[in-house]
Amino acid sequence: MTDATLLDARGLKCPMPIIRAKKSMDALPPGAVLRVVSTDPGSVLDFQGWVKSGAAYELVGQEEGTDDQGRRTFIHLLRKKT
Amino acid sequence: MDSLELFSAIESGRRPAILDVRNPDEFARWKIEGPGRADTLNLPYFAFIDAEADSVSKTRAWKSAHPGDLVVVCAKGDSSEFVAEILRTAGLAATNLEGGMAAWGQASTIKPLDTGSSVRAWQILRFGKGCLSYLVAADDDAIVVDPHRRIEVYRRAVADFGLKLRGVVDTHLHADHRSGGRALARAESVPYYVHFADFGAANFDFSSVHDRTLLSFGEEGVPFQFLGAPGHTPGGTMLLVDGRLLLTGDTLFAGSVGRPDLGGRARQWAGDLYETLIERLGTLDGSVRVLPAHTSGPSEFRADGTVWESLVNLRARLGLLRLPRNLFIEAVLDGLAPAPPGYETLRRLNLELENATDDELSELELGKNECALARKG
Repeated sequence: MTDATLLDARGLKCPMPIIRAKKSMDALPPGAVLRVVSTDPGSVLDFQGWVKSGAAYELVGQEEGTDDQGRRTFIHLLRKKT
Repeated sequence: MDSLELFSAIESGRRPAILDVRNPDEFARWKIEGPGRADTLNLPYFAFIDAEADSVSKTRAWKSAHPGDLVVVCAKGDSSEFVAEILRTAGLAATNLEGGMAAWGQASTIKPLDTGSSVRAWQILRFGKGCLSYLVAADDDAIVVDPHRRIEVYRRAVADFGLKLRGVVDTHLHADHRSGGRALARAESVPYYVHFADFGAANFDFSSVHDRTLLSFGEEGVPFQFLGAPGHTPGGTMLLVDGRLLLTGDTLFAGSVGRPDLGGRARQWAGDLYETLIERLGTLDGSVRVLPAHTSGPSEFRADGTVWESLVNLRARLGLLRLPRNLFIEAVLDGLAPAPPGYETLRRLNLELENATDDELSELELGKNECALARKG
């Protein structure tokens, strides 16, 4: 996933991570991957629900991590459908 | 609009039209309910991001068939405000539920109970979770039973009613919410009454109660008698006040009985539950009023918004209470829902073996209580 575009959504409350993700995805070519880094635990189910309802993207992965400030992060990998 | 206003709208029959914009999984697990009708549409906020016009017209069509005030709800109140703003721009009068389901799960009401005796009692309903707690007074002496962690509610009530707090009781070690029992007892410098079998491992001192422990309060010494009630937990107790009010904790509810499976010994605890419910409660008069620590749903509410039932009516209504021991155990084990998430952590928190921030507690407490047997059919 080294060629994924990064979207830093840390510190943002919903609905902002999905609003920002949609804006970024709209600007990317088909097949491109967006890596969204969020600190909102609610984003995990929300990204799953979002790709189920909207057909333009797929969720190719989700992982948890810790950022350089020690915050829990929730990472969502989205791919724009071709 | 805040949670109390929404609850009051449901309770008073104004039948609000609730647009829940959380994702469908969260919605399926837990939603706004109360003692009255509320109509609900689940349309996630991301549908408003992807297809705003379409989502607005869906909402408009649904709203035209549901005339109550339109209230938008999400997990914490931000996405719902975003959607409410879109709807208002489109000409629909939409109100946001401030703080979302997180606030809904924390708010509570307090109502006087008809006790049928000189004892005064109030029922505190934490409606989002279905948790019930009590303030019981003999003359000016009061105790609080099974308080939730927003202890200001109890402190204010005690002060407003001119009472003196004499003690705080937890009927058992709670596994569905963080208890306010120890915090309230400490804040008011009164004893915290709990049973050793549940609290032996606790990281604090408490006043240990046993089966038949008798306290008395008020000028004429009204008896507050503890009855051992193992089953839901080994150290479960019930409190019989003035021989008339029975605070049953999670042992017996207005429509069900406590689940015995949250300790890894479901069969043994189900047997204990049988002895408690049948043999122990069998000695009490049918007119005794059962005041449980939870409600399982809107059908349990009385016209005045309180939840209680007489023992005689429960014996008639709950078929479980008429089964022989072996069939009782099988029926109980057969009715078990999956264990609620986070219950082991909440137990450790209530023993103060670990700590959590307010946000972490709110997240752990999300959802409705699942302390009763799931009712079938």
